Amino acid sequence: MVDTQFKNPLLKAFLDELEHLELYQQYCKSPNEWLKKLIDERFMQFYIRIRAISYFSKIIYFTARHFDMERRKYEKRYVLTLDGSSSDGNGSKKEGTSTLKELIVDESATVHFPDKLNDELNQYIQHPLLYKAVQSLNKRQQQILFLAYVLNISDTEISKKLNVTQQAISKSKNNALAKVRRLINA
Amino acid sequence: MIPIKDYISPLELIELLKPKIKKELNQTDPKNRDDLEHEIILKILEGLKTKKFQRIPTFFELLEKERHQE
Repeated sequence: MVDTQFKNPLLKAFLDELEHLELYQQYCKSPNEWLKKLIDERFMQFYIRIRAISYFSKIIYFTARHFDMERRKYEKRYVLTLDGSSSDGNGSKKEGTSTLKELIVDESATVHFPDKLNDELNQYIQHPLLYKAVQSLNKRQQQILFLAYVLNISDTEISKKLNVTQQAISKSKNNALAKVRRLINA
Repeated sequence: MIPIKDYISPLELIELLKPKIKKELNQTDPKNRDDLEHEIILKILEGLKTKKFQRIPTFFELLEKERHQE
């Protein structure tokens, strides 16, 4: 057997491959120029790959850093770009966050999103008890609850819409909620 | 001086570097990843064209060195 225990990590790694080891053992048994040349050639092939990987790994690393730097510079200079995240900064690296361009209003749309909403309050209720309770309210109370909880409009805005005072809206809303609560608990 | 392109084909080199590229892609926004990947591959191909290594020791030179140390 030939001694193949080397300290040099390069030699060790090279001879870890069976093909190289066999060539080397063959050479040790019968040294000749042709085999020597072959081994040298193989070693070159082997070593140059290692060197190339380490060299290009650095290139990849710096290219990535440079790319991000340029990207940030660009975003800073062209603040009006619509590709940016709509939520300021935080969570911008998360996948699926919406960008500003997704919030642009479609001018040519014939139907607006609020129009698509069903304007009957009871269409939004799943719970049977709650449904029954809401049914027992009068039309006006239902309308106020619809505006307040489905469309998310403030009391003041509702009062302007219905031409009454804000206090009246607030009062009938609270009455309606109290009635619903009473009916559910009963 | 040894030009690398005589020893490694571009496809093989990119295949060898795949894991490293994948890893670096993770550090940027998902929407920029494709751009960065192209940028990196472009840089690798440019490097492959021009980069030359200094002298590389041969197998038997290293062997000699190892023997001397013992």
